[in-house]
Amino acid sequence: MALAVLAVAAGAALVTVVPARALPTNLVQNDGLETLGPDGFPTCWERSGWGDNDHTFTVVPDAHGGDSAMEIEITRIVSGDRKTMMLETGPCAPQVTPGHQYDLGVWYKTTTPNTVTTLFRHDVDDGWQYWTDLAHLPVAAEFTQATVRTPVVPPDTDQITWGVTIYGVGTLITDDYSMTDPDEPEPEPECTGTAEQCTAGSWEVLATESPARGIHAVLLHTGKVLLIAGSGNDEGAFAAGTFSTALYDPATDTFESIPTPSDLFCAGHVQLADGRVLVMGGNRNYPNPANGHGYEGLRTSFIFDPATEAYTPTNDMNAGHWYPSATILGTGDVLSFGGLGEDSSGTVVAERWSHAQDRWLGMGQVNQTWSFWGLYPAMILMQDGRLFYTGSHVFGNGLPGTGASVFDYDTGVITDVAGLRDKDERDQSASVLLHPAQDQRVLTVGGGNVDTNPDANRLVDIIDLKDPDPAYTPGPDLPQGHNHDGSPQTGDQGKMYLSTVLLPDGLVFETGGALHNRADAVAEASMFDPATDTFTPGMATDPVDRGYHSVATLLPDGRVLTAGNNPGDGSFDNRISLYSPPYSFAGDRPEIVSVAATEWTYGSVQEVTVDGPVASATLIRPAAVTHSSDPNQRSVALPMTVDGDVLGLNVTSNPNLAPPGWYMLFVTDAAGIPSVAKWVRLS
Amino acid sequence: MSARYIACLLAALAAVLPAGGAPAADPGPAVRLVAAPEPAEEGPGEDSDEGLDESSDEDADEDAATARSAPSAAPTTPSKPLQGKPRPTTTAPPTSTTSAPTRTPGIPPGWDPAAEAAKWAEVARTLREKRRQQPDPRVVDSFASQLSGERRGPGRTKRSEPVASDVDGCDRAYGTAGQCIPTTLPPGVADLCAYLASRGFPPVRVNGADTLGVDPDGNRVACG
Repeated sequence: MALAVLAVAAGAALVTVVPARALPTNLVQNDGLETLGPDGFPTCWERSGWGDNDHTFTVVPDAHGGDSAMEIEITRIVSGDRKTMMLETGPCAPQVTPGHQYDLGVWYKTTTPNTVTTLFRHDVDDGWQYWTDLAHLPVAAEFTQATVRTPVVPPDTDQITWGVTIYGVGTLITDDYSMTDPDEPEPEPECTGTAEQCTAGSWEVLATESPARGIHAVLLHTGKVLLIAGSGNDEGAFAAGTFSTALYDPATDTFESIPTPSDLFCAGHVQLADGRVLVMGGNRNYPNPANGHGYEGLRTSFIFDPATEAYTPTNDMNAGHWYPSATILGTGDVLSFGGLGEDSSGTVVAERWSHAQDRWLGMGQVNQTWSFWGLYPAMILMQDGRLFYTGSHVFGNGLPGTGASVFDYDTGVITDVAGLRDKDERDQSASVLLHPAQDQRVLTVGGGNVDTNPDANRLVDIIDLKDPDPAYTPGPDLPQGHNHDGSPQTGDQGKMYLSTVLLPDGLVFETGGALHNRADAVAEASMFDPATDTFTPGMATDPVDRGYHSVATLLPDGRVLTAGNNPGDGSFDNRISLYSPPYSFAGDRPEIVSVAATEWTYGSVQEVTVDGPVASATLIRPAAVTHSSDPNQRSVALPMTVDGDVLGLNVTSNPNLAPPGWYMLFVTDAAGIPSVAKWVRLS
Repeated sequence: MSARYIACLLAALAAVLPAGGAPAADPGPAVRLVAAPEPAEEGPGEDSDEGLDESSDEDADEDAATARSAPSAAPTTPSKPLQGKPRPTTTAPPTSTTSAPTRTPGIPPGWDPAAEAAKWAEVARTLREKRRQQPDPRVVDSFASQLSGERRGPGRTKRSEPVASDVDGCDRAYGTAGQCIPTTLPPGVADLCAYLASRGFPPVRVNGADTLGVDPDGNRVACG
């Protein structure tokens, strides 16, 4: 299963979801630290840690049980951490089974919140390696039990070791470790649909067409989908000043037309921290063949408020932008780059929306690099606040250099990253930050080039931004489908205009696309699993062609909505498709019965009640997508405490991992079946 | 990147080895290539990595750690992979050989540069793999911190980038703004009229000069 989400029980006497049965075997050797070696240190344990700090490891009699516990005291720290870890020798390192999850328990006291449970795993091919950290353990003056459920043990793992890390000044005492396999029987796959539905999912096409062209799609925290067209690539509508937006309600399958104040065709958009939608730029003018002038970008900007379901203007940006990017930062500010200016040239003016001031900042208030970032450059927020330009863009060649880069807005430094293959054929490729966002890995898929018009490619490149010198590495080729004439794709044929949608089970649903510039739709859909970096081909394909000007977005009920298609003949398909993934046909879905609070803060533990055992929880940021580009799409894992049907969800303390705003909260059971989402707002 | 790692590691190694002689009995923290069990007891601040922390920069620190992971350095007490930096341990000096028939000045006897390079390449790979899996939520020091690509600083001039009017790959001499007669036909397609017909285009207007010669009758409709 793709999800790698943890369960952490903090606080006294919490109970994980374990079936009523005989106590499972404790896999920890010398779990009570009572057996000491000749050096006076507990056998099967070792001192560990790194960095510049003053510390002591002491076996103390202040124990939860027995006569011995382990105390680590840090009196000065500049960097690093300390931890008491299990030895990696055979009998000391617990054996594990891939695919299982384990409950790790420890009794502890700590004077500092800077503690965390740390796991290493033994890969049968690559040896011991760091695996993951779980959620922090709160300060506790008295012995308190923390129970930690591991992620699913990855393939090729035969042993793990773990311990509690302290990385701040303070004292940590641990005792009475436990590690058990919940041994919940693997749920039998249940199929409530046809065999095809249970393996490939299925589509339906709404009987009612959208009153607006679905060129831009924004999922609102009301559950409705904003479909923005503006003039919708219709010169006649532009000349008539007829601009359109539709609001689709999946709950009722109804559309509402929204008065649209400007030509928002080819604008940028992003949800703000409060859930309002910031829309920037758009179309100031269509090309004029008579004078050779191209598209012109607007500097106007609007906010769509889901509460009033209406647009209101903001102050103008500093320049016009047709095809701008929009990335929300951990502060709630928004950075926007690229596109065409009012004179139809490529604008080099960067724009910044101030969350605090609720307006666009002036030219002098924005760090300018005077760099042209292209059209709809995919700029993904990294965990340290820098931006990763993935190389996905719209129209023509990639940027000079390697075609992908890390951009430090604060310093203005742009540094190329290597490895993106055929960077000049990544026009309308798709990039997505893989689940979980904590892994900081980006997938870039397919693409073409409207200028040279080759067959779109099936290249898949993956980059791990955690690496000190990250570089794209080749992933598996995109699965092939059938071309518009029904022939199977061959050779290097792939897709541009495709969509990549994060699903609540951690997979990426890849759908839609075409082979050439505004022509030749390809029938193909697949699932990408970030846990194994593999595609599962053969997902059901959208009954409607989805090429240029198509979009796809996850809905709170776990379905995927697709809209739009604007081939070269100038037609536009206003039909809406809804995809139900295989999990829709896998029996009862877990349910989030209640959420104690919908206003969440960073670093908090949030209580939710579910109707049965769940394996993981995640926050998924709602889509704001156009032209295969949604750089804000992300799925953030929530380490989870379990007390019967009550979960404590540990919210990341890093706003760059989950920028402020509304999120869909999903829980997923051990079979990978997700719930319907509840909306929560993170700030 | 691997080559740079290897070069740095080998340079660090060479720098601390006595010229023309066997390795020092205690090579110091930066050259602790072989890990050994930790001492039985350690007092405050006496952990075996203290010397590393104080005397080595981060790279050297990491180098020493990865050395513990090298196959030839398997300790009797297993070492622990580390997060970003190593958990340095008390180490034994490199084992010298007595069987080397010849010696090169500055190179310890029995030292096989190729084997060493291969070992350190593996060490570097392992280090990268460890770093690849750094934890949330702490932002780790190594996170995209050693970018080696070309750097471009802030530009100095606010000069916009010229962009062709057919940026979208559509020939504006033909059709409406909403249509797209591709400036380049797809592979295997040589005839525009056949392309338009096969893709279901309605009659396509000619906006100005018939640059492609698809309006021989001059009715301002391409291919018709």
